[in-house]
Amino acid sequence: MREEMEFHRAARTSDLVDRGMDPEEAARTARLEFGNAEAYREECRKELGYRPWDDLYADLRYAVRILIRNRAFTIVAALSIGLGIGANVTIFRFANALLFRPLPVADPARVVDIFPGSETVSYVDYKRYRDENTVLSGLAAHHMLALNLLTDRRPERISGQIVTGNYFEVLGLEPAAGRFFVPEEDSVPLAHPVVVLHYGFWQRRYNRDPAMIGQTITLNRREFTVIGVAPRGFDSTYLGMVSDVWVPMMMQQVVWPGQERLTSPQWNGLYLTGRLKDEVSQQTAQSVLETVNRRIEQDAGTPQRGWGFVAVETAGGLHREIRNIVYATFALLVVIVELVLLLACSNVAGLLLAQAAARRKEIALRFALGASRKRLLAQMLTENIGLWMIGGLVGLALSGALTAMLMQYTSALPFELELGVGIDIRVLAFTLPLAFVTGLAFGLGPALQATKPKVVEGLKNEIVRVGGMVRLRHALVVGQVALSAILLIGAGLLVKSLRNAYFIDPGFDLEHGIVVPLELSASGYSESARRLFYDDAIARVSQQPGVASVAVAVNVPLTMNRDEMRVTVDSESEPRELTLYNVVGAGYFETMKMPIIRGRPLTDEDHGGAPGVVVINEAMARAYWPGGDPIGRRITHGGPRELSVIGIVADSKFGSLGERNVPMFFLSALQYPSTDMKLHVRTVGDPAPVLPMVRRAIESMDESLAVDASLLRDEIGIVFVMPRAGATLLSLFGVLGVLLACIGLFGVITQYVNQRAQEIGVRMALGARRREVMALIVRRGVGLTAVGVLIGLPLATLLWRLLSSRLYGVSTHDAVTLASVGVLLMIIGAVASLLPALKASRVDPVTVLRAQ
Amino acid sequence: MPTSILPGTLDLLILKAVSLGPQHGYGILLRIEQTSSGNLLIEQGALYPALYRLETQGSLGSEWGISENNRRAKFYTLTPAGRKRLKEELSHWKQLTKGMALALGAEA
Repeated sequence: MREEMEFHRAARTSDLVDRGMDPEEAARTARLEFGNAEAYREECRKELGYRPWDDLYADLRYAVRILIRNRAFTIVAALSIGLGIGANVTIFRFANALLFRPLPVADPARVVDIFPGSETVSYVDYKRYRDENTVLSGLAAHHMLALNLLTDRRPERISGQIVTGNYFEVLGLEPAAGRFFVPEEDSVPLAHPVVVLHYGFWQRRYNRDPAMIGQTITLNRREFTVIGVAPRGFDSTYLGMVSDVWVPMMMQQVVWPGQERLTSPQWNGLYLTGRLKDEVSQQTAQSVLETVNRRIEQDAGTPQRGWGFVAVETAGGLHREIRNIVYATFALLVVIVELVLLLACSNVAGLLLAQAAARRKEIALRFALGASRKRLLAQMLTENIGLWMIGGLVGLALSGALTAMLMQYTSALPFELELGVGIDIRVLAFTLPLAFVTGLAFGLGPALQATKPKVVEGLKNEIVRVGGMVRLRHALVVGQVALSAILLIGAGLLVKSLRNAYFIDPGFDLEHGIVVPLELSASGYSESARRLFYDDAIARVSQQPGVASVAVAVNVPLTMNRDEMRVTVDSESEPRELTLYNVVGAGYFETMKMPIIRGRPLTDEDHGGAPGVVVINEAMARAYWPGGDPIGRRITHGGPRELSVIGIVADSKFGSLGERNVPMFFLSALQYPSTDMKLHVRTVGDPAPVLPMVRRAIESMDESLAVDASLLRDEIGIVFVMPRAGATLLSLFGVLGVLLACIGLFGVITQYVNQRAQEIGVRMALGARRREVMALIVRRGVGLTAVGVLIGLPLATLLWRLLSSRLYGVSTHDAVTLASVGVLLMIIGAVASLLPALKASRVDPVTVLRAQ
Repeated sequence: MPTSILPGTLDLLILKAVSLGPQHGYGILLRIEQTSSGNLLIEQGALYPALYRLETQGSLGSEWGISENNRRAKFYTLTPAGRKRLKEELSHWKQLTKGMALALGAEA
């Protein structure tokens, strides 16, 4: 464009020279004739449609200048927005890691998890699903468990999966070293103790030594030959869970002791993962598998209500046991981080409004110079959105720190958790638009307000003090107080609700427990020898100082180990659905501190020769004998024994902390002898110092036993990881919200008082005493806060009642929360007006008056 | 004494000038001056926004070439759309001037 016009001028000049003009004179004339080249160029750019971009560029430059000039304001505002956005980004990073990751296997879209109505299946049923379906090219079964790795007599807990021999084949994986299982290795029980290692485990522990192939490692006191290493990056089919080793199903008695699970259709617990044949959709697979499922049920003679259903889902998601609690936590976290963001943004919007007042001269000047409202608005908006974008970058940085902090919680897990929570393109694609949109939403109001021609018009005259302006400021203070009240009460209720839900009483004594798995069958103890060993162990451990109570049981609650069976109630013709149960010894309820509500607990009298007995929990009493008295009623389960209900124990959590209380019953260990039981110990005080004494007491009974005792609270750590991390995060965000509300409120009230500095000066010049002036201002500040609180509290109660169904165990009329928020806001209001009032009253009245 | 052109007629003049053959901006200006026998006065700089407008609208095409005195210059050509537009605007203009002349003539 410039070149073109330059050419024009040069051509004109030479023409004029040709006509006999003096060259210098010609150049001047050419320039004059052409007119204002700069203006024409601008017009040309406009014609080309460049104008908006030119404007944007100018606005951006101006915005940067303004933001740098108001450094302090920019930093405070960007930090505030950064906190709000950072909280959101952190949550998104976890969601990103949890929701959008395909399995690192061949063609992951065709790999599906299959959940029959009961969710898990027995090995017997697994074989039927595998053989009788026409839709899968392969079906594997697996179960995640904790294993005991013994290195130089030093036991250590690692995680592992017991899998069917075709597991790796179904997933389409190639070994990083060695080989995977061959069919013979998964056909005869206990014949082939072989193991495949996780790549990371191999790297960490064995330094990626290729010579490990063919060596043996000791798992659960049995030597396993290492045959291969899984490919790098493959952890398990569960999102985030790392399996250190894979063991074939036939080794069940060693790695998953307690029951003979390979031949009995009673023992569920296996999860199914299969690969769809080409051209087979998940819907087709589902209907075919449901047919198989119905056939299995009919053959078992126990058709169940709603049992025909089979869920087919793309594999690679969260483990079902923790999925619900993870989702629930996420939902609440999303609500609270949005609140924090709202608070942060409205704070900054308030600050911008106040700032607009300070910039009124500048804006009036620009209007006077002929800027259109549209242009001014665009410029202010560019500035505000720029501010939010800076906030977005700050937020991105802050989320790094928050994420690192949260990841620390996962170290408490028995399973290694591997989540990709780094910043990727999706995180950026979330953060930057979020910053932009919130900037637009919250920056528009202040920009509109600042560029209102009427306001600017009025402000040209500095002495105006119209009633409207004062009322507007009052409304701003009252509004901010009310909004803060709503948000604070919401945050308070949510945090409280989460604390209730997550620090929920599990129904048993969690803090004083020690668990000692006694793996006796692997050491060759017969059933009667085991029984003697248990009695002896209970007697010895009971004598240890600090021990309150000792008992044995098969399953530890909240550890993902569970047993279920179908029971028939009284003389009903059909059995009920699968019901959770545990096999426990005498004194179990006393040891776990699970109170007996009615009847009596299981005792040593309930032995094999005595009548069959069962203790049920309250949920089972309610579900199976609604309205009636279950004591003395009978249940059967297809076995030889008929069991009569002798007691009702209080409900406790078994599967997960978040679960509703589910029906469950307890069998006598003497009537249902199981292969291996776990010693449960309750201590009087802190269990940690008692733990080594308990271990030594057991070891002294049999030197060859590797005793792996652990604290109950460590044993069930996994159940607490999400909730604890979630509750910590929520409390943190709650505090953040309070902080933001305080800052915002403080800012608005301070601004309000500062704007009355003139008035103070006048009053003092007229002879008012400092004290009177201060009292006046503080009274006004506190009064406005009180009005805001009075408006905010009922509004908050009303609003949060809508959310009350999401709140766990918290009434929206929670008086403590309401009162503390009210008091907090009043204190902030008082302090916020006191400080500037102090400052204002020190001002020399003459100075103020002169400034007029 | 040359007279200023009527508002809105610059586009038509440019189209007409370019229809005689590809030309650069200054050449277009000269052409208009010549063909009008110096009767029309065009603000030289104002030519360019009009050229850009016509180019954006698709009536003109352009490419860089070498001028008669061996300098790089941007040459404008008439596109088919421009030719069609010239025809339309010409007939429009003729109708307008005819009507104007009749109406004004009748008054005199």
